[in-house]
Amino acid sequence: MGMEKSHNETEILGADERKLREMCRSLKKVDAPANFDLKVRARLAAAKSSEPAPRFGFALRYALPAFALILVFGLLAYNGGFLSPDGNPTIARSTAPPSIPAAPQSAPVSNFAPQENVEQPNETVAPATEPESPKTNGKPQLAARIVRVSKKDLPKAKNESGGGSTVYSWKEAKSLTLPNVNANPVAPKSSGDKTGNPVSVKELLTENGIDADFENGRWSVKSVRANSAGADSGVREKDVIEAIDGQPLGGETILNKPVKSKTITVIRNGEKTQIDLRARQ
Amino acid sequence: MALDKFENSDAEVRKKSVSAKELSDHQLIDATKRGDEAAFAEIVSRYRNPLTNYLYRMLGDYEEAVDLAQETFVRVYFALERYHTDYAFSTYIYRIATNLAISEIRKKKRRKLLSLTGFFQTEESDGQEFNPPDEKTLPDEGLIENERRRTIEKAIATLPDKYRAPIVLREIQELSYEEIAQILGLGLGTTKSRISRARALLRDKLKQYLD
Repeated sequence: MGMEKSHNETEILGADERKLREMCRSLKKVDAPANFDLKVRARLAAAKSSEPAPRFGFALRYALPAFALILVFGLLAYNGGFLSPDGNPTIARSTAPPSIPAAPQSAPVSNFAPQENVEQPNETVAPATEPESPKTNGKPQLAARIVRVSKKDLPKAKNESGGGSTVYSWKEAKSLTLPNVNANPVAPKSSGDKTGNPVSVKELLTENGIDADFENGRWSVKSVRANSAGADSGVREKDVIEAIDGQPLGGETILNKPVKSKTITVIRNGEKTQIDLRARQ
Repeated sequence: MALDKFENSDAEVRKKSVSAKELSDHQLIDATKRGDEAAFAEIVSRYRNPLTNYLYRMLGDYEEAVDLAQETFVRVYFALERYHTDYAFSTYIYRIATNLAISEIRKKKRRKLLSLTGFFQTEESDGQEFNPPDEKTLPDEGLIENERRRTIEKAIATLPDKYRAPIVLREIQELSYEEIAQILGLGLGTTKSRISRARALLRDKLKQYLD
């Protein structure tokens, strides 16, 4: 047994341990090669060049792409109608104000093709905000409820009711089309002539020489062109055209184009008069 | 740290290295953090040989040992900001080298998983695998090669990993028990126990030279 000191420690080692220690320490020390420092520098340079830039590294790697993604998805969501400008998702049936049917331009709910199975073809416009009634069944009801609100009517309805995102309700409604459903906001139930192209009131009157404007919720005749169907039929300036073929006229009412004649209801000096509009050949 | 400064010309490094040799490890580290390239060159100069020797005894392959020693310095350089001077720098750098060596040994084991030698291992030889030392002679070892030394090298190289690191650090690198315990992240008692067990294993392998 003997005492062996290593560093500041005192260690008791047996003879074998001492011999082992001598044998281990007799091994030749292995030194680093001469170019060791050079290779370390080369490695440091390589590691340094492959290191990402410390400044703005996070922003360039994560923040900017994330911001771009959020921007793109936000725009898509906004334009796709998932979000309204006020941040609330809107659905046509549930957000339109209940006063919409009271709008003067509202037309009868006859937006389906004549041959379709419509339960209540002459029904007046039902409130778009009315909760989904248990009586409502099937797609035709849904379509009627959606398409009956015209774009022009909505601001007025909104003013009357004092709120509601009606414009977006209209947009939703317009985008929905169902089979066998006339997607026009207001259309005549049946004009008897299905071969003609639908025209607006303004166009129809202009074709017949009547220059009329929709003012204060009614069509007022401004002038009648001489030698036109309107003049021949007796339509005069300052007449108010209330209906065509018995169909009340709204600002954006769409009519089927007549082939030969139409009966227009005119109010002249407070009296209602029926005039047959004769088409000039 | 300014790496580009470290890559300056050798002449400038030699100028500053004169004063750098007089500094302690911690002072050199502080200087390196401030961008003193000569300070880090001095650290490399101080530890390159001990580390290479230690890693060679751990791995048994000179090229691998040099490679891992260089990698150790690279890691130290990039981790200097996280280094706390509460501990000895030698402990810190040996710990990094030990971790690299153990990782390399494990990689080798995985590579040898399909080797036939793996099927003949017993439970007693857990962690002790056929891992012959590098047969290549060292650069200047040709003349002093002898059977006894080779046997000792082989005995150390074939020790299980958990005994090899402490016995090499103790008997070859001549570190204290406390330093070894810190390097290996073990308790002092465990460290002593492992060194004692390693000595017993070496005694069995080398008893022909002990009688």
